[in-house]
Amino acid sequence: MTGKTRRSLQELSAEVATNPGSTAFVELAEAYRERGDTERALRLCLRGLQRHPTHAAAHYELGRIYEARSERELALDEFGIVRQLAPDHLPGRLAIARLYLEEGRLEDAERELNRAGRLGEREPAIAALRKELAAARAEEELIRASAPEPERRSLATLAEEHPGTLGILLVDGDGQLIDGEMKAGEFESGRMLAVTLSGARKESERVASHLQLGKLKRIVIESPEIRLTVSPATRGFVVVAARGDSPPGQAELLLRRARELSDRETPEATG
Amino acid sequence: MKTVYADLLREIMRMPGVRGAIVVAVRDGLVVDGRVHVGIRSDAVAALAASLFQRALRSTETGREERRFVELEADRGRIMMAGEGELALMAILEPRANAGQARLAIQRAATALAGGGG
Repeated sequence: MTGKTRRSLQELSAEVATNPGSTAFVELAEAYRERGDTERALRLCLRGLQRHPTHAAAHYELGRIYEARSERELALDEFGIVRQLAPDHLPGRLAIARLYLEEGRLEDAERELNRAGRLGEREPAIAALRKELAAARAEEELIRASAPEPERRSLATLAEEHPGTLGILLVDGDGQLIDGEMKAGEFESGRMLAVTLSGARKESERVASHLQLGKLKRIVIESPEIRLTVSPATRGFVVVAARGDSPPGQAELLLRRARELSDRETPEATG
Repeated sequence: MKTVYADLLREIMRMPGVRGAIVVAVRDGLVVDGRVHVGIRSDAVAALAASLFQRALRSTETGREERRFVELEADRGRIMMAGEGELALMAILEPRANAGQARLAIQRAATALAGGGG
Protein backbone atom coordinates (compact mmCIF):
# COMPACT_ATOMS: atom_id res chain seq x y z
CA MET A 1 0.00 0.00 0.00
CA THR A 2 1.21 3.47 -0.79
CA GLY A 3 3.31 5.11 1.93
CA LYS A 4 3.65 1.93 3.92
CA THR A 5 6.45 -0.53 4.19
CA ARG A 6 5.12 -3.72 2.73
CA ARG A 7 5.24 -6.69 4.93
CA SER A 8 5.75 -10.20 3.67
CA LEU A 9 2.92 -12.68 3.33
CA GLN A 10 4.39 -14.73 6.14
CA GLU A 11 4.46 -11.77 8.49
CA LEU A 12 0.91 -10.76 7.63
CA SER A 13 -0.39 -14.33 7.87
CA ALA A 14 1.25 -14.73 11.23
CA GLU A 15 -0.32 -11.54 12.54
CA VAL A 16 -3.80 -12.47 11.34
CA ALA A 17 -3.40 -15.96 12.79
CA THR A 18 -2.21 -14.81 16.20
CA ASN A 19 -4.53 -11.83 16.45
CA PRO A 20 -7.89 -12.47 14.77
CA GLY A 21 -9.10 -9.01 15.80
CA SER A 22 -6.32 -7.31 13.85
CA THR A 23 -7.08 -5.33 10.66
CA ALA A 24 -3.98 -6.77 9.02
CA PHE A 25 -6.39 -8.99 7.04
CA VAL A 26 -6.89 -6.05 4.64
CA GLU A 27 -3.23 -5.88 3.78
CA LEU A 28 -3.00 -9.67 3.54
CA ALA A 29 -6.05 -9.82 1.22
CA GLU A 30 -4.44 -7.18 -0.96
CA ALA A 31 -1.27 -9.24 -1.18
CA TYR A 32 -3.24 -12.35 -2.18
CA ARG A 33 -5.19 -10.37 -4.76
CA GLU A 34 -2.00 -8.97 -6.29
CA ARG A 35 -0.69 -12.52 -6.59
CA GLY A 36 -3.86 -13.48 -8.41
CA ASP A 37 -5.28 -15.58 -5.57
CA THR A 38 -8.60 -13.79 -5.45
CA GLU A 39 -10.38 -16.77 -3.89
CA ARG A 40 -8.23 -16.67 -0.78
CA ALA A 41 -8.31 -12.86 -0.76
CA LEU A 42 -12.12 -12.90 -0.90
CA ARG A 43 -12.50 -15.42 1.92
CA LEU A 44 -10.08 -13.48 4.09
CA CYS A 45 -11.76 -10.16 3.44
CA LEU A 46 -15.28 -11.43 4.06
CA ARG A 47 -14.18 -13.07 7.29
CA GLY A 48 -12.39 -9.90 8.41
CA LEU A 49 -15.43 -7.77 7.64
CA GLN A 50 -17.53 -9.90 9.98
CA ARG A 51 -15.36 -8.54 12.79
CA HIS A 52 -14.93 -5.06 11.31
CA PRO A 53 -18.10 -4.31 9.30
CA THR A 54 -17.46 -0.56 9.17
CA HIS A 55 -13.83 -0.78 8.12
CA ALA A 56 -13.79 1.40 4.98
CA ALA A 57 -10.40 0.16 3.75
CA ALA A 58 -11.62 -3.45 4.04
CA HIS A 59 -14.71 -2.66 1.93
CA TYR A 60 -12.47 -0.90 -0.58
CA GLU A 61 -10.21 -3.97 -0.77
CA LEU A 62 -13.27 -6.21 -1.16
CA GLY A 63 -14.38 -3.96 -4.05
CA ARG A 64 -10.97 -4.38 -5.69
CA ILE A 65 -11.19 -8.15 -5.26
CA TYR A 66 -14.64 -8.21 -6.88
CA GLU A 67 -13.29 -6.05 -9.69
CA ALA A 68 -10.44 -8.48 -10.22
CA ARG A 69 -13.03 -11.25 -10.46
CA SER A 70 -15.02 -9.21 -13.02
CA GLU A 71 -17.93 -8.92 -10.59
CA ARG A 72 -18.52 -5.27 -11.33
CA GLU A 73 -21.90 -4.86 -9.68
CA LEU A 74 -20.61 -6.27 -6.41
CA ALA A 75 -17.51 -4.09 -6.72
CA LEU A 76 -19.67 -0.98 -7.19
CA ASP A 77 -21.72 -1.96 -4.14
CA GLU A 78 -18.59 -2.20 -2.02
CA PHE A 79 -17.18 1.11 -3.28
CA GLY A 80 -20.59 2.64 -2.55
CA ILE A 81 -20.30 1.39 1.03
CA VAL A 82 -16.84 2.99 1.24
CA ARG A 83 -18.33 6.29 0.03
CA GLN A 84 -20.93 6.13 2.80
CA LEU A 85 -18.53 5.11 5.54
CA ALA A 86 -15.75 7.48 4.53
CA PRO A 87 -16.83 10.26 2.14
CA ASP A 88 -13.23 11.47 1.93
CA HIS A 89 -11.85 8.11 0.79
CA LEU A 90 -10.25 9.20 -2.48
CA PRO A 91 -9.38 5.76 -3.92
CA GLY A 92 -13.00 4.67 -3.34
CA ARG A 93 -14.32 7.70 -5.23
CA LEU A 94 -11.90 7.14 -8.07
CA ALA A 95 -12.83 3.47 -8.30
CA ILE A 96 -16.50 4.43 -8.66
CA ALA A 97 -15.64 7.05 -11.28
CA ARG A 98 -13.56 4.53 -13.22
CA LEU A 99 -16.34 1.92 -13.21
CA TYR A 100 -18.92 4.48 -14.29
CA LEU A 101 -16.63 5.56 -17.09
CA GLU A 102 -16.17 1.98 -18.26
CA GLU A 103 -19.95 1.52 -18.27
CA GLY A 104 -20.44 4.68 -20.34
CA ARG A 105 -22.23 6.47 -17.50
CA LEU A 106 -20.42 9.68 -18.29
CA GLU A 107 -22.59 12.04 -16.22
CA ASP A 108 -22.19 9.86 -13.14
CA ALA A 109 -18.46 9.51 -13.77
CA GLU A 110 -18.07 13.28 -14.02
CA ARG A 111 -19.96 13.83 -10.77
CA GLU A 112 -17.71 11.38 -8.92
CA LEU A 113 -14.60 12.91 -10.46
CA ASN A 114 -15.65 16.39 -9.38
CA ARG A 115 -16.09 15.18 -5.82
CA ALA A 116 -12.78 13.35 -6.00
CA GLY A 117 -11.22 16.56 -7.31
CA ARG A 118 -12.30 18.38 -4.16
CA LEU A 119 -10.50 15.73 -2.09
CA GLY A 120 -7.19 15.79 -3.95
CA GLU A 121 -6.99 17.85 -7.09
CA ARG A 122 -3.31 17.02 -7.61
CA GLU A 123 -3.88 13.29 -7.63
CA PRO A 124 -2.56 12.08 -11.02
CA ALA A 125 -5.34 9.44 -11.27
CA ILE A 126 -7.94 12.21 -11.36
CA ALA A 127 -6.26 13.91 -14.31
CA ALA A 128 -5.99 10.55 -16.10
CA LEU A 129 -9.67 9.77 -15.56
CA ARG A 130 -10.66 13.28 -16.67
CA LYS A 131 -8.74 12.72 -19.87
CA GLU A 132 -10.56 9.42 -20.41
CA LEU A 133 -13.87 11.14 -19.71
CA ALA A 134 -13.15 13.85 -22.30
CA ALA A 135 -12.24 11.21 -24.89
CA ALA A 136 -15.44 9.26 -24.17
CA ARG A 137 -17.48 12.47 -24.50
CA ALA A 138 -15.84 13.29 -27.85
CA GLU A 139 -16.53 9.78 -29.12
CA GLU A 140 -20.15 9.98 -28.00
CA GLU A 141 -20.56 13.30 -29.77
CA LEU A 142 -19.01 11.89 -32.93
CA ILE A 143 -21.44 8.95 -32.92
CA ARG A 144 -24.37 11.30 -32.34
CA ALA A 145 -23.29 13.59 -35.17
CA SER A 146 -22.79 10.76 -37.66
CA ALA A 147 -26.06 8.98 -36.82
CA PRO A 148 -28.68 9.49 -39.54
CA GLU A 149 -31.55 11.82 -38.69
CA PRO A 150 -34.67 9.84 -37.86
CA GLU A 151 -36.92 9.98 -40.89
CA ARG A 152 -39.79 12.39 -40.44
CA ARG A 153 -42.76 10.47 -41.70
CA SER A 154 -45.37 12.57 -43.37
CA LEU A 155 -48.51 11.95 -45.37
CA ALA A 156 -46.45 12.42 -48.53
CA THR A 157 -43.87 9.77 -47.54
CA LEU A 158 -46.68 7.44 -46.48
CA ALA A 159 -48.24 7.80 -49.94
CA GLU A 160 -44.86 7.20 -51.59
CA GLU A 161 -44.45 3.94 -49.73
CA HIS A 162 -47.62 2.44 -51.20
CA PRO A 163 -47.75 1.97 -54.95
CA GLY A 164 -51.07 2.91 -56.44
CA THR A 165 -51.61 5.72 -53.98
CA LEU A 166 -52.31 9.03 -55.71
CA GLY A 167 -52.25 11.13 -52.57
CA ILE A 168 -53.16 11.40 -48.91
CA LEU A 169 -54.72 14.59 -47.61
CA LEU A 170 -55.58 15.97 -44.21
CA VAL A 171 -58.40 18.49 -44.51
CA ASP A 172 -59.93 20.64 -41.77
CA GLY A 173 -63.64 21.04 -41.12
CA ASP A 174 -63.84 24.06 -43.45
CA GLY A 175 -62.31 22.26 -46.42
CA GLN A 176 -58.85 23.80 -45.99
CA LEU A 177 -55.98 21.51 -46.86
CA ILE A 178 -53.80 21.06 -43.77
CA ASP A 179 -51.27 18.55 -45.06
CA GLY A 180 -50.55 16.21 -47.97
CA GLU A 181 -50.76 16.54 -51.71
CA MET A 182 -52.08 14.81 -54.80
CA LYS A 183 -49.66 13.46 -57.37
CA ALA A 184 -49.68 15.63 -60.48
CA GLY A 185 -51.92 14.11 -63.11
CA GLU A 186 -55.38 14.22 -64.53
CA PHE A 187 -57.13 14.51 -61.16
CA GLU A 188 -57.94 17.58 -59.17
CA SER A 189 -55.31 19.32 -57.06
CA GLY A 190 -55.21 18.62 -53.37
CA ARG A 191 -56.75 21.99 -52.55
CA MET A 192 -59.68 21.56 -54.94
CA LEU A 193 -60.30 18.00 -53.81
CA ALA A 194 -60.27 19.15 -50.19
CA VAL A 195 -63.04 21.67 -50.90
CA THR A 196 -65.17 19.24 -52.93
CA LEU A 197 -64.84 16.42 -50.41
CA SER A 198 -65.55 18.75 -47.52
CA GLY A 199 -68.91 19.41 -49.18
CA ALA A 200 -69.42 15.68 -49.79
CA ARG A 201 -68.73 14.99 -46.16
CA LYS A 202 -71.33 17.52 -45.04
CA GLU A 203 -73.87 16.05 -47.47
CA SER A 204 -73.09 12.58 -46.12
CA GLU A 205 -73.64 13.73 -42.55
CA ARG A 206 -76.99 15.16 -43.56
CA VAL A 207 -78.03 11.89 -45.22
CA ALA A 208 -76.82 9.84 -42.25
CA SER A 209 -78.62 12.12 -39.85
CA HIS A 210 -81.86 12.07 -41.86
CA LEU A 211 -81.84 8.26 -41.92
CA GLN A 212 -80.75 8.09 -38.27
CA LEU A 213 -77.69 6.04 -39.18
CA GLY A 214 -75.56 7.49 -36.39
CA LYS A 215 -72.00 8.75 -36.61
CA LEU A 216 -70.37 8.84 -40.04
CA LYS A 217 -67.43 6.46 -40.26
CA ARG A 218 -66.32 6.46 -43.86
CA ILE A 219 -67.17 7.62 -47.38
CA VAL A 220 -65.90 5.77 -50.44
CA ILE A 221 -66.17 7.32 -53.89
CA GLU A 222 -65.09 5.24 -56.85
CA SER A 223 -64.69 5.69 -60.56
CA PRO A 224 -62.84 3.23 -62.84
CA GLU A 225 -59.70 5.37 -62.43
CA ILE A 226 -59.74 6.50 -58.83
CA ARG A 227 -60.97 5.49 -55.41
CA LEU A 228 -61.33 8.16 -52.73
CA THR A 229 -61.71 7.03 -49.15
CA VAL A 230 -62.67 9.71 -46.66
CA SER A 231 -62.69 9.24 -42.91
CA PRO A 232 -63.09 11.64 -39.98
CA ALA A 233 -59.93 12.45 -38.00
CA THR A 234 -59.30 14.49 -34.88
CA ARG A 235 -58.63 17.63 -36.93
CA GLY A 236 -61.15 17.33 -39.78
CA PHE A 237 -60.87 14.35 -42.10
CA VAL A 238 -58.34 12.26 -43.97
CA VAL A 239 -58.59 11.43 -47.67
CA VAL A 240 -56.77 8.55 -49.30
CA ALA A 241 -56.78 8.71 -53.09
CA ALA A 242 -55.75 5.52 -54.87
CA ARG A 243 -55.90 4.15 -58.38
CA GLY A 244 -59.19 2.40 -59.09
CA ASP A 245 -57.49 -0.98 -59.46
CA SER A 246 -55.62 -0.86 -56.15
CA PRO A 247 -56.85 -3.19 -53.38
CA PRO A 248 -59.49 -1.58 -51.13
CA GLY A 249 -57.76 -3.04 -48.06
CA GLN A 250 -54.70 -0.91 -48.78
CA ALA A 251 -56.78 2.26 -48.53
CA GLU A 252 -58.11 1.11 -45.15
CA LEU A 253 -54.58 0.52 -43.90
CA LEU A 254 -53.40 3.88 -45.17
CA LEU A 255 -56.39 5.64 -43.64
CA ARG A 256 -55.54 4.24 -40.23
CA ARG A 257 -51.86 5.21 -40.52
CA ALA A 258 -52.69 8.64 -41.88
CA ARG A 259 -55.08 9.27 -38.98
CA GLU A 260 -52.38 8.25 -36.50
CA LEU A 261 -49.90 10.57 -38.22
CA SER A 262 -52.29 13.49 -38.42
CA ASP A 263 -53.17 13.10 -34.74
CA ARG A 264 -49.46 13.40 -33.88
CA GLU A 265 -48.40 16.28 -36.10
CA THR A 266 -49.54 19.80 -36.87
CA PRO A 267 -47.68 20.71 -40.06
CA GLU A 268 -47.89 23.85 -42.13
CA ALA A 269 -50.43 23.94 -44.94
CA THR A 270 -49.04 22.78 -48.27
CA GLY A 271 -49.98 23.35 -51.88
CA MET B 1 -97.70 2.36 -61.27
CA LYS B 2 -95.08 -0.12 -62.40
CA THR B 3 -92.05 1.43 -64.12
CA VAL B 4 -89.28 -0.22 -66.13
CA TYR B 5 -87.16 -0.15 -62.96
CA ALA B 6 -89.54 -2.25 -60.83
CA ASP B 7 -87.76 -5.60 -61.36
CA LEU B 8 -84.40 -4.05 -60.72
CA LEU B 9 -85.58 -2.52 -57.43
CA ARG B 10 -87.26 -5.74 -56.34
CA GLU B 11 -83.97 -7.56 -56.87
CA ILE B 12 -82.17 -5.19 -54.53
CA MET B 13 -84.92 -5.24 -51.91
CA ARG B 14 -84.81 -9.03 -51.82
CA MET B 15 -81.39 -8.98 -50.12
CA PRO B 16 -81.45 -9.28 -46.34
CA GLY B 17 -80.90 -6.02 -44.46
CA VAL B 18 -81.92 -3.65 -47.27
CA ARG B 19 -84.33 -0.98 -46.03
CA GLY B 20 -84.87 0.78 -49.33
CA ALA B 21 -83.85 1.07 -52.97
CA ILE B 22 -84.46 4.21 -55.00
CA VAL B 23 -83.75 5.24 -58.58
CA VAL B 24 -82.81 8.92 -58.45
CA ALA B 25 -82.41 11.58 -61.12
CA VAL B 26 -78.94 12.84 -60.26
CA ARG B 27 -79.32 16.38 -61.59
CA ASP B 28 -82.50 17.40 -59.74
CA GLY B 29 -82.68 14.83 -56.93
CA LEU B 30 -86.15 13.59 -57.85
CA VAL B 31 -87.32 10.04 -57.22
CA VAL B 32 -87.84 8.13 -60.45
CA ASP B 33 -88.96 4.95 -58.72
CA GLY B 34 -88.36 3.45 -55.30
CA ARG B 35 -89.24 0.84 -52.70
CA VAL B 36 -88.63 1.84 -49.08
CA HIS B 37 -89.56 0.53 -45.66
CA VAL B 38 -92.10 2.39 -43.61
CA GLY B 39 -90.67 5.48 -41.94
CA ILE B 40 -88.27 6.43 -44.73
CA ARG B 41 -89.17 9.50 -46.77
CA SER B 42 -87.81 8.58 -50.17
CA ASP B 43 -88.15 12.11 -51.62
CA ALA B 44 -86.01 13.68 -48.90
CA VAL B 45 -83.44 10.89 -48.99
CA ALA B 46 -83.25 11.08 -52.80
CA ALA B 47 -82.68 14.84 -52.76
CA LEU B 48 -79.87 14.57 -50.21
CA ALA B 49 -78.29 11.54 -51.88
CA ALA B 50 -78.35 13.19 -55.31
CA SER B 51 -76.52 16.18 -53.91
CA LEU B 52 -73.89 13.84 -52.43
CA PHE B 53 -73.61 11.98 -55.70
CA GLN B 54 -73.00 15.21 -57.60
CA ARG B 55 -70.15 16.02 -55.25
CA ALA B 56 -68.77 12.55 -55.84
CA LEU B 57 -68.91 13.13 -59.59
CA ARG B 58 -67.02 16.39 -59.21
CA SER B 59 -64.35 14.92 -56.96
CA THR B 60 -63.54 12.19 -59.48
CA GLU B 61 -64.04 14.26 -62.63
CA THR B 62 -62.00 13.11 -65.60
CA GLY B 63 -64.09 14.58 -68.41
CA ARG B 64 -65.47 11.16 -69.29
CA GLU B 65 -68.92 9.88 -68.40
CA GLU B 66 -68.15 6.84 -66.33
CA ARG B 67 -69.75 4.80 -63.60
CA ARG B 68 -69.44 6.14 -60.09
CA PHE B 69 -69.96 4.25 -56.89
CA VAL B 70 -70.47 5.98 -53.55
CA GLU B 71 -70.62 4.27 -50.19
CA LEU B 72 -71.37 6.01 -46.95
CA GLU B 73 -70.75 3.98 -43.82
CA ALA B 74 -72.12 5.01 -40.44
CA ASP B 75 -72.53 3.42 -37.02
CA ARG B 76 -76.02 2.09 -37.67
CA GLY B 77 -76.04 1.34 -41.36
CA ARG B 78 -74.79 2.36 -44.76
CA ILE B 79 -75.89 3.83 -48.06
CA MET B 80 -74.63 2.71 -51.45
CA MET B 81 -75.16 4.54 -54.71
CA ALA B 82 -74.07 3.67 -58.21
CA GLY B 83 -74.80 5.39 -61.48
CA GLU B 84 -73.63 6.45 -64.85
CA GLY B 85 -75.16 9.44 -66.56
CA GLU B 86 -78.49 10.87 -65.46
CA LEU B 87 -79.70 8.17 -63.12
CA ALA B 88 -78.31 6.58 -60.01
CA LEU B 89 -79.51 3.72 -57.91
CA MET B 90 -79.26 4.03 -54.16
CA ALA B 91 -79.81 1.47 -51.44
CA ILE B 92 -80.19 1.93 -47.70
CA LEU B 93 -78.68 -0.92 -45.73
CA GLU B 94 -78.85 -2.06 -42.14
CA PRO B 95 -75.57 -3.04 -40.44
CA ARG B 96 -76.47 -6.74 -40.80
CA ALA B 97 -76.59 -6.50 -44.61
CA ASN B 98 -73.78 -8.20 -46.52
CA ALA B 99 -71.93 -5.16 -47.85
CA GLY B 100 -69.94 -7.05 -50.48
CA GLN B 101 -72.99 -8.73 -51.92
CA ALA B 102 -74.98 -5.50 -51.88
CA ARG B 103 -72.18 -3.67 -53.63
CA LEU B 104 -72.10 -6.17 -56.49
CA ALA B 105 -75.89 -6.17 -56.84
CA ILE B 106 -76.07 -2.37 -56.88
CA GLN B 107 -73.31 -2.05 -59.44
CA ARG B 108 -75.01 -4.64 -61.62
CA ALA B 109 -78.27 -2.77 -61.28
CA ALA B 110 -76.56 0.50 -62.16
CA THR B 111 -75.26 -1.05 -65.36
CA ALA B 112 -78.78 -2.12 -66.23
CA LEU B 113 -80.02 1.36 -65.36
CA ALA B 114 -77.53 2.93 -67.78
CA GLY B 115 -78.81 0.51 -70.40
CA GLY B 116 -82.35 1.84 -70.02
CA GLY B 117 -83.99 -0.22 -67.29
CA GLY B 118 -84.35 -3.67 -65.79
